[in-house]
Amino acid sequence: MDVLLAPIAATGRASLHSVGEAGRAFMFFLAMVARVFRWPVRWGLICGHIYFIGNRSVIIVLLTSSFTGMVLVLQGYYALVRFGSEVYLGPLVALSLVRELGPVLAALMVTARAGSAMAATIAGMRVTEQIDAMEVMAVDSVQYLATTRFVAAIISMPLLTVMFDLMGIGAAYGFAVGVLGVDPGVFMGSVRDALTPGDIVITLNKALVFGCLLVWVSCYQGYSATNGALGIGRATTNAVVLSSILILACDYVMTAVLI
Amino acid sequence: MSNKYTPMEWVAGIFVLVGIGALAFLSISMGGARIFEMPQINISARFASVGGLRSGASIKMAGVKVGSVSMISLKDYQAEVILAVDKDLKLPTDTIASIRTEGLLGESYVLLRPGGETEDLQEGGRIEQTEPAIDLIDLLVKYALDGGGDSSTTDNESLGSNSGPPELFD
Repeated sequence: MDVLLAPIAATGRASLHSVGEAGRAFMFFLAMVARVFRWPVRWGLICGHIYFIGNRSVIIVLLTSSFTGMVLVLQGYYALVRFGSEVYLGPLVALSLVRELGPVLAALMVTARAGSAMAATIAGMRVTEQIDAMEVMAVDSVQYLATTRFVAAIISMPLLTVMFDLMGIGAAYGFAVGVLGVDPGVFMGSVRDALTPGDIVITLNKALVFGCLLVWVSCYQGYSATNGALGIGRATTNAVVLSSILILACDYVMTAVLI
Repeated sequence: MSNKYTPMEWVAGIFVLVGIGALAFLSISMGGARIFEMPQINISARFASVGGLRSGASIKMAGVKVGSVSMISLKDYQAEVILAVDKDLKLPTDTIASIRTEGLLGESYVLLRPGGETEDLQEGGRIEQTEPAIDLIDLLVKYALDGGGDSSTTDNESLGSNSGPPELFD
Protein backbone atom coordinates (compact mmCIF):
# COMPACT_ATOMS: atom_id res chain seq x y z
CA MET A 1 0.00 0.00 0.00
CA ASP A 2 2.80 2.35 0.92
CA VAL A 3 4.45 1.67 -2.41
CA LEU A 4 1.30 2.66 -4.25
CA LEU A 5 0.76 5.81 -2.24
CA ALA A 6 4.37 6.99 -2.35
CA PRO A 7 4.16 8.93 -5.66
CA ILE A 8 0.96 10.65 -4.52
CA ALA A 9 2.55 11.58 -1.21
CA ALA A 10 5.63 12.89 -3.03
CA THR A 11 3.48 15.02 -5.34
CA GLY A 12 1.62 16.43 -2.38
CA ARG A 13 4.82 17.21 -0.50
CA ALA A 14 6.31 18.91 -3.57
CA SER A 15 3.27 21.09 -4.15
CA LEU A 16 2.98 22.01 -0.47
CA HIS A 17 6.69 22.81 -0.49
CA SER A 18 6.39 25.10 -3.52
CA VAL A 19 3.40 26.93 -2.03
CA GLY A 20 5.27 27.43 1.24
CA GLU A 21 8.40 28.52 -0.61
CA ALA A 22 6.43 31.06 -2.67
CA GLY A 23 4.91 32.49 0.49
CA ARG A 24 8.27 32.70 2.25
CA ALA A 25 9.86 34.36 -0.79
CA PHE A 26 7.04 36.89 -0.91
CA MET A 27 7.41 37.67 2.80
CA PHE A 28 11.13 38.16 2.17
CA PHE A 29 10.29 40.61 -0.64
CA LEU A 30 7.98 42.59 1.65
CA ALA A 31 10.60 42.67 4.40
CA MET A 32 13.24 43.82 1.91
CA VAL A 33 11.06 46.62 0.49
CA ALA A 34 9.79 47.75 3.90
CA ARG A 35 13.35 48.31 5.08
CA VAL A 36 14.09 50.80 2.27
CA PHE A 37 12.58 53.55 4.38
CA ARG A 38 14.03 52.41 7.68
CA TRP A 39 16.95 54.07 9.42
CA PRO A 40 19.90 53.71 9.01
CA VAL A 41 20.21 54.22 5.26
CA ARG A 42 23.57 52.66 4.43
CA TRP A 43 24.71 54.93 1.62
CA GLY A 44 28.25 53.58 1.66
CA LEU A 45 27.06 50.05 1.07
CA ILE A 46 24.53 51.17 -1.55
CA CYS A 47 27.30 53.01 -3.42
CA GLY A 48 29.42 49.89 -3.34
CA HIS A 49 26.58 47.84 -4.78
CA ILE A 50 25.86 50.44 -7.45
CA TYR A 51 29.52 50.17 -8.38
CA PHE A 52 29.25 46.38 -8.50
CA ILE A 53 25.87 46.11 -10.29
CA GLY A 54 26.20 49.24 -12.41
CA ASN A 55 29.76 50.20 -13.27
CA ARG A 56 31.11 46.70 -13.56
CA SER A 57 28.22 45.70 -15.89
CA VAL A 58 28.64 48.61 -18.29
CA ILE A 59 31.20 46.91 -20.53
CA ILE A 60 29.27 43.68 -20.87
CA VAL A 61 26.01 45.57 -21.47
CA LEU A 62 27.59 47.75 -24.16
CA LEU A 63 29.16 44.72 -25.84
CA THR A 64 25.93 42.70 -25.96
CA SER A 65 23.94 45.72 -27.10
CA SER A 66 26.21 46.53 -30.03
CA PHE A 67 26.06 42.96 -31.31
CA THR A 68 22.30 42.88 -30.81
CA GLY A 69 21.89 46.13 -32.74
CA MET A 70 24.10 44.95 -35.59
CA VAL A 71 22.40 41.56 -35.93
CA LEU A 72 18.99 43.26 -35.96
CA VAL A 73 20.15 45.49 -38.81
CA LEU A 74 21.54 42.54 -40.72
CA GLN A 75 18.38 40.45 -40.36
CA GLY A 76 16.04 43.37 -40.90
CA TYR A 77 17.90 44.70 -43.92
CA TYR A 78 17.72 41.51 -45.94
CA ALA A 79 14.07 41.03 -45.07
CA LEU A 80 13.09 44.62 -45.89
CA VAL A 81 15.21 45.16 -48.98
CA ARG A 82 13.10 42.64 -50.91
CA PHE A 83 10.14 44.99 -50.62
CA GLY A 84 12.23 48.08 -51.14
CA SER A 85 11.33 49.33 -47.69
CA GLU A 86 14.73 49.87 -46.09
CA VAL A 87 13.30 53.08 -44.67
CA TYR A 88 11.69 50.95 -41.98
CA LEU A 89 15.05 49.59 -40.86
CA GLY A 90 15.56 52.36 -38.30
CA PRO A 91 12.15 52.00 -36.63
CA LEU A 92 12.46 48.20 -36.64
CA VAL A 93 15.80 48.30 -34.82
CA ALA A 94 14.96 51.16 -32.46
CA LEU A 95 11.55 49.90 -31.41
CA SER A 96 12.63 46.31 -30.86
CA LEU A 97 15.66 47.48 -28.88
CA VAL A 98 13.86 50.03 -26.73
CA ARG A 99 10.66 48.08 -26.10
CA GLU A 100 11.91 44.52 -25.75
CA LEU A 101 15.51 43.61 -26.19
CA GLY A 102 17.06 46.42 -24.17
CA PRO A 103 15.37 45.74 -20.83
CA VAL A 104 15.33 41.96 -21.22
CA LEU A 105 18.89 41.42 -22.38
CA ALA A 106 20.32 43.97 -19.96
CA ALA A 107 18.47 42.27 -17.11
CA LEU A 108 19.67 38.83 -18.21
CA MET A 109 23.27 40.03 -18.40
CA VAL A 110 23.03 41.66 -14.98
CA THR A 111 21.48 38.48 -13.59
CA ALA A 112 24.33 36.42 -14.94
CA ARG A 113 26.98 38.84 -13.73
CA ALA A 114 25.66 40.37 -10.53
CA GLY A 115 22.70 38.18 -9.52
CA SER A 116 24.83 35.06 -9.35
CA ALA A 117 27.43 36.89 -7.28
CA MET A 118 24.75 38.20 -4.90
CA ALA A 119 23.32 34.74 -4.36
CA ALA A 120 26.75 33.17 -3.86
CA THR A 121 27.92 35.87 -1.43
CA ILE A 122 24.80 35.77 0.72
CA ALA A 123 24.61 31.98 0.61
CA GLY A 124 28.24 31.82 1.71
CA MET A 125 27.47 34.09 4.63
CA ARG A 126 24.42 32.00 5.51
CA VAL A 127 26.15 28.62 5.55
CA THR A 128 29.15 29.95 7.50
CA GLU A 129 26.68 31.42 10.02
CA GLN A 130 27.80 35.01 9.46
CA ILE A 131 24.18 36.07 9.07
CA ASP A 132 23.34 34.51 12.44
CA ALA A 133 26.30 36.34 13.93
CA MET A 134 24.98 39.58 12.46
CA GLU A 135 21.56 38.98 14.01
CA VAL A 136 23.20 38.29 17.37
CA MET A 137 24.89 41.70 17.13
CA ALA A 138 21.45 43.24 16.52
CA VAL A 139 22.25 44.19 12.92
CA ASP A 140 19.22 43.87 10.66
CA SER A 141 20.63 41.35 8.20
CA VAL A 142 17.85 41.73 5.62
CA GLN A 143 18.44 45.45 5.49
CA TYR A 144 22.20 45.14 5.52
CA LEU A 145 22.41 42.48 2.81
CA ALA A 146 19.26 42.63 0.71
CA THR A 147 17.80 46.12 0.93
CA THR A 148 21.07 47.83 0.03
CA ARG A 149 21.34 45.64 -3.08
CA PHE A 150 17.67 46.28 -3.87
CA VAL A 151 18.12 50.07 -3.81
CA ALA A 152 21.31 49.80 -5.85
CA ALA A 153 19.54 47.66 -8.48
CA ILE A 154 16.58 50.04 -8.68
CA ILE A 155 19.02 52.86 -9.40
CA SER A 156 21.34 51.02 -11.79
CA MET A 157 19.01 48.86 -13.86
CA PRO A 158 17.13 51.67 -15.66
CA LEU A 159 20.42 53.44 -16.35
CA LEU A 160 22.05 50.29 -17.72
CA THR A 161 19.00 49.64 -19.88
CA VAL A 162 19.09 53.14 -21.34
CA MET A 163 22.78 52.67 -22.10
CA PHE A 164 21.92 49.36 -23.78
CA ASP A 165 19.25 51.04 -25.93
CA LEU A 166 21.48 53.93 -26.96
CA MET A 167 24.53 51.79 -27.70
CA GLY A 168 22.39 49.32 -29.65
CA ILE A 169 20.89 52.06 -31.81
CA GLY A 170 24.32 53.62 -32.25
CA ALA A 171 25.90 50.33 -33.35
CA ALA A 172 22.96 49.65 -35.65
CA TYR A 173 23.37 53.10 -37.17
CA GLY A 174 27.09 52.60 -37.69
CA PHE A 175 26.62 49.19 -39.26
CA ALA A 176 23.68 50.17 -41.47
CA VAL A 177 25.33 53.37 -42.72
CA GLY A 178 28.92 52.18 -42.86
CA VAL A 179 28.55 48.64 -44.17
CA LEU A 180 25.14 48.33 -45.82
CA GLY A 181 25.07 51.82 -47.28
CA VAL A 182 21.73 52.93 -45.81
CA ASP A 183 21.17 56.68 -46.00
CA PRO A 184 22.22 58.18 -42.63
CA GLY A 185 19.59 60.92 -42.64
CA VAL A 186 16.77 58.52 -43.45
CA PHE A 187 17.87 56.09 -40.74
CA MET A 188 18.16 58.64 -37.95
CA GLY A 189 15.09 60.56 -39.09
CA SER A 190 12.91 57.47 -39.10
CA VAL A 191 14.23 56.47 -35.65
CA ARG A 192 13.28 59.90 -34.32
CA ASP A 193 9.83 59.64 -35.89
CA ALA A 194 9.20 56.15 -34.55
CA LEU A 195 10.39 56.53 -30.95
CA THR A 196 7.93 58.24 -28.64
CA PRO A 197 8.26 59.20 -24.96
CA GLY A 198 5.86 56.31 -24.29
CA ASP A 199 8.44 53.80 -25.56
CA ILE A 200 11.03 55.20 -23.18
CA VAL A 201 8.58 54.94 -20.29
CA ILE A 202 8.08 51.27 -21.24
CA THR A 203 11.84 50.66 -21.26
CA LEU A 204 12.23 52.27 -17.83
CA ASN A 205 9.25 50.44 -16.32
CA LYS A 206 10.50 47.11 -17.53
CA ALA A 207 14.02 47.79 -16.30
CA LEU A 208 12.71 48.71 -12.84
CA VAL A 209 10.55 45.60 -12.57
CA PHE A 210 13.32 43.30 -13.82
CA GLY A 211 15.80 44.89 -11.42
CA CYS A 212 13.45 44.24 -8.48
CA LEU A 213 12.89 40.68 -9.67
CA LEU A 214 16.51 39.74 -10.02
CA VAL A 215 17.56 41.18 -6.66
CA TRP A 216 14.61 39.59 -4.93
CA VAL A 217 15.23 36.11 -6.35
CA SER A 218 19.01 36.25 -5.96
CA CYS A 219 18.96 37.54 -2.39
CA TYR A 220 16.22 35.15 -1.35
CA GLN A 221 18.03 32.16 -2.81
CA GLY A 222 21.20 33.17 -1.01
CA TYR A 223 19.36 33.89 2.19
CA SER A 224 17.60 30.54 2.34
CA ALA A 225 20.68 28.45 1.46
CA THR A 226 21.43 25.36 3.54
CA ASN A 227 23.81 22.39 3.36
CA GLY A 228 27.25 24.00 3.22
CA ALA A 229 29.23 24.28 0.01
CA LEU A 230 26.66 22.26 -1.91
CA GLY A 231 23.97 24.73 -0.85
CA ILE A 232 25.97 27.70 -2.14
CA GLY A 233 26.18 26.11 -5.57
CA ARG A 234 22.50 25.25 -5.58
CA ALA A 235 21.51 28.75 -4.45
CA THR A 236 23.58 30.34 -7.23
CA THR A 237 22.14 28.07 -9.91
CA ASN A 238 18.60 28.57 -8.66
CA ALA A 239 19.06 32.32 -8.53
CA VAL A 240 20.21 32.59 -12.14
CA VAL A 241 17.70 30.11 -13.56
CA LEU A 242 14.72 31.43 -11.62
CA SER A 243 15.54 35.10 -12.29
CA SER A 244 15.94 34.48 -16.01
CA ILE A 245 12.66 32.59 -16.25
CA LEU A 246 10.83 35.19 -14.19
CA ILE A 247 12.29 38.05 -16.25
CA LEU A 248 11.17 36.48 -19.52
CA ALA A 249 7.72 35.56 -18.20
CA CYS A 250 7.28 38.98 -16.66
CA ASP A 251 8.34 40.60 -19.93
CA TYR A 252 5.54 38.81 -21.73
CA VAL A 253 2.97 39.88 -19.15
CA MET A 254 4.19 43.49 -19.11
CA THR A 255 4.17 43.71 -22.90
CA ALA A 256 0.66 42.30 -23.03
CA VAL A 257 -0.51 44.84 -20.46
CA LEU A 258 1.43 47.90 -21.56
CA ILE A 259 1.14 47.70 -25.33
CA MET B 1 29.28 60.15 6.59
CA SER B 2 32.73 61.67 6.22
CA ASN B 3 33.42 64.69 4.06
CA LYS B 4 35.94 62.85 1.94
CA TYR B 5 34.31 60.70 -0.73
CA THR B 6 35.72 57.26 -1.28
CA PRO B 7 36.89 56.32 -4.78
CA MET B 8 33.97 53.89 -5.00
CA GLU B 9 31.51 56.69 -4.35
CA TRP B 10 33.13 58.76 -7.09
CA VAL B 11 32.96 55.94 -9.61
CA ALA B 12 29.36 55.07 -8.70
CA GLY B 13 28.49 58.75 -9.01
CA ILE B 14 30.03 58.91 -12.48
CA PHE B 15 27.98 55.85 -13.50
CA VAL B 16 24.75 57.41 -12.28
CA LEU B 17 25.44 60.75 -13.99
CA VAL B 18 26.42 59.11 -17.29
CA GLY B 19 23.27 56.98 -17.09
CA ILE B 20 21.05 59.98 -16.49
CA GLY B 21 22.78 61.78 -19.36
CA ALA B 22 22.07 58.81 -21.62
CA LEU B 23 18.44 58.81 -20.52
CA ALA B 24 18.09 62.52 -21.23
CA PHE B 25 19.69 62.10 -24.65
CA LEU B 26 17.47 59.14 -25.55
CA SER B 27 14.25 60.81 -24.49
CA ILE B 28 14.87 64.30 -25.82
CA SER B 29 16.90 63.70 -28.97
CA MET B 30 15.31 60.45 -30.13
CA GLY B 31 12.10 60.04 -28.19
CA GLY B 32 10.94 63.55 -28.99
CA ALA B 33 9.98 64.35 -25.39
CA ARG B 34 9.15 68.02 -25.06
CA ILE B 35 10.22 69.70 -21.86
CA PHE B 36 8.84 73.05 -22.85
CA GLU B 37 5.41 72.46 -24.34
CA MET B 38 4.73 74.73 -27.28
CA PRO B 39 1.53 76.69 -26.68
CA GLN B 40 -1.21 75.19 -28.83
CA ILE B 41 -4.80 75.93 -29.72
CA ASN B 42 -7.55 73.38 -30.31
CA ILE B 43 -9.50 73.52 -33.53
CA SER B 44 -12.19 71.05 -34.54
CA ALA B 45 -12.96 69.69 -37.98
CA ARG B 46 -15.61 67.24 -39.16
CA PHE B 47 -14.84 64.59 -41.72
CA ALA B 48 -17.12 62.15 -43.52
CA SER B 49 -14.51 59.48 -42.81
CA VAL B 50 -11.18 59.56 -40.99
CA GLY B 51 -9.92 56.32 -42.52
CA GLY B 52 -6.81 55.20 -40.68
CA LEU B 53 -6.28 58.44 -38.77
CA ARG B 54 -5.54 57.92 -35.08
CA SER B 55 -5.14 60.36 -32.23
CA GLY B 56 -1.52 61.46 -32.01
CA ALA B 57 -1.18 61.59 -35.80
CA SER B 58 0.66 64.61 -37.12
CA ILE B 59 -0.84 67.70 -38.69
CA LYS B 60 1.16 69.15 -41.54
CA MET B 61 1.13 72.25 -43.61
CA ALA B 62 3.20 72.21 -46.78
CA GLY B 63 4.88 69.09 -45.41
CA VAL B 64 5.98 70.72 -42.16
CA LYS B 65 4.63 69.34 -38.89
CA VAL B 66 2.56 71.98 -37.11
CA GLY B 67 0.66 69.95 -34.49
CA SER B 68 -1.02 66.67 -33.67
CA VAL B 69 -4.49 65.14 -33.54
CA SER B 70 -5.63 65.14 -29.94
CA MET B 71 -9.03 63.42 -30.12
CA ILE B 72 -11.35 61.69 -32.57
CA SER B 73 -15.02 61.17 -31.76
CA LEU B 74 -18.33 60.67 -33.49
CA LYS B 75 -20.71 63.68 -33.74
CA ASP B 76 -23.86 63.68 -35.88
CA TYR B 77 -22.74 60.57 -37.76
CA GLN B 78 -19.54 62.38 -38.70
CA ALA B 79 -16.05 62.05 -37.31
CA GLU B 80 -15.12 65.08 -35.25
CA VAL B 81 -11.37 65.50 -35.02
CA ILE B 82 -9.77 67.88 -32.52
CA LEU B 83 -6.59 69.34 -33.93
CA ALA B 84 -3.97 70.77 -31.57
CA VAL B 85 -2.07 73.28 -33.68
CA ASP B 86 0.87 75.50 -32.73
CA LYS B 87 -0.48 78.79 -31.45
CA ASP B 88 1.78 81.06 -33.46
CA LEU B 89 0.49 79.55 -36.70
CA LYS B 90 -2.19 81.84 -38.14
CA LEU B 91 -4.91 79.82 -39.87
CA PRO B 92 -7.42 81.73 -42.02
CA THR B 93 -11.06 80.76 -41.43
CA ASP B 94 -11.35 79.18 -44.87
CA THR B 95 -8.47 76.76 -44.30
CA ILE B 96 -9.00 73.36 -45.90
CA ALA B 97 -8.25 70.23 -43.86
CA SER B 98 -7.80 66.91 -45.64
CA ILE B 99 -6.72 63.48 -44.49
CA ARG B 100 -3.85 62.06 -46.47
CA THR B 101 -1.56 59.09 -46.18
CA GLU B 102 2.19 59.20 -46.44
CA GLY B 103 3.09 57.21 -49.51
CA LEU B 104 0.93 54.27 -50.52
CA LEU B 105 0.82 52.44 -47.20
CA GLY B 106 2.17 55.03 -44.78
CA GLU B 107 0.55 56.66 -41.78
CA SER B 108 -2.42 58.96 -42.08
CA TYR B 109 -1.99 62.63 -41.30
CA VAL B 110 -4.03 65.80 -41.57
CA LEU B 111 -2.97 68.24 -44.28
CA LEU B 112 -3.90 71.88 -43.79
CA ARG B 113 -4.02 74.27 -46.71
CA PRO B 114 -4.51 77.94 -45.84
CA GLY B 115 -7.22 79.94 -47.54
CA GLY B 116 -7.36 83.63 -48.34
CA GLU B 117 -9.58 85.07 -45.59
CA THR B 118 -8.16 87.83 -43.45
CA GLU B 119 -9.78 86.53 -40.26
CA ASP B 120 -7.93 83.81 -38.33
CA LEU B 121 -9.30 80.75 -36.55
CA GLN B 122 -9.38 81.11 -32.76
CA GLU B 123 -9.25 78.54 -29.96
CA GLY B 124 -12.26 76.23 -30.27
CA GLY B 125 -12.91 77.29 -33.89
CA ARG B 126 -14.07 74.92 -36.57
CA ILE B 127 -12.60 74.23 -39.97
CA GLU B 128 -15.58 74.07 -42.32
CA GLN B 129 -13.96 72.79 -45.48
CA THR B 130 -12.73 69.25 -45.13
CA GLU B 131 -11.81 66.39 -47.40
CA PRO B 132 -12.28 62.87 -45.99
CA ALA B 133 -9.75 60.08 -46.12
CA ILE B 134 -9.49 58.35 -49.46
CA ASP B 135 -10.06 54.63 -49.26
CA LEU B 136 -7.73 53.09 -51.77
CA ILE B 137 -9.65 49.81 -51.96
CA ASP B 138 -12.95 51.62 -52.61
CA LEU B 139 -11.26 53.59 -55.32
CA LEU B 140 -9.83 50.48 -56.94
CA VAL B 141 -13.16 48.64 -56.84
CA LYS B 142 -14.93 51.62 -58.33
CA TYR B 143 -12.32 51.99 -61.01
CA ALA B 144 -12.23 48.31 -61.87
CA LEU B 145 -15.99 48.03 -62.22
CA ASP B 146 -16.42 51.32 -64.05
CA GLY B 147 -13.57 50.60 -66.37
CA GLY B 148 -12.17 53.94 -65.34
CA GLY B 149 -14.30 55.65 -67.97
CA ASP B 150 -16.49 57.82 -65.76
CA SER B 151 -14.61 60.97 -64.99
CA SER B 152 -17.09 62.04 -62.31
CA THR B 153 -15.81 59.35 -59.92
CA THR B 154 -12.36 60.82 -59.79
CA ASP B 155 -13.10 64.41 -58.96
CA ASN B 156 -12.83 65.58 -55.40
CA GLU B 157 -16.55 65.83 -54.76
CA SER B 158 -17.34 62.14 -54.86
CA LEU B 159 -14.13 60.79 -53.40
CA GLY B 160 -15.07 58.88 -50.29
CA SER B 161 -18.28 60.89 -49.96
CA ASN B 162 -20.57 59.23 -47.50
CA SER B 163 -23.64 58.91 -49.68
CA GLY B 164 -24.21 55.22 -49.16
CA PRO B 165 -22.79 52.41 -51.29
CA PRO B 166 -21.39 53.48 -54.62
CA GLU B 167 -23.75 52.96 -57.51
CA LEU B 168 -21.82 50.53 -59.54
CA PHE B 169 -23.91 49.86 -62.59
CA ASP B 170 -25.50 53.14 -63.51
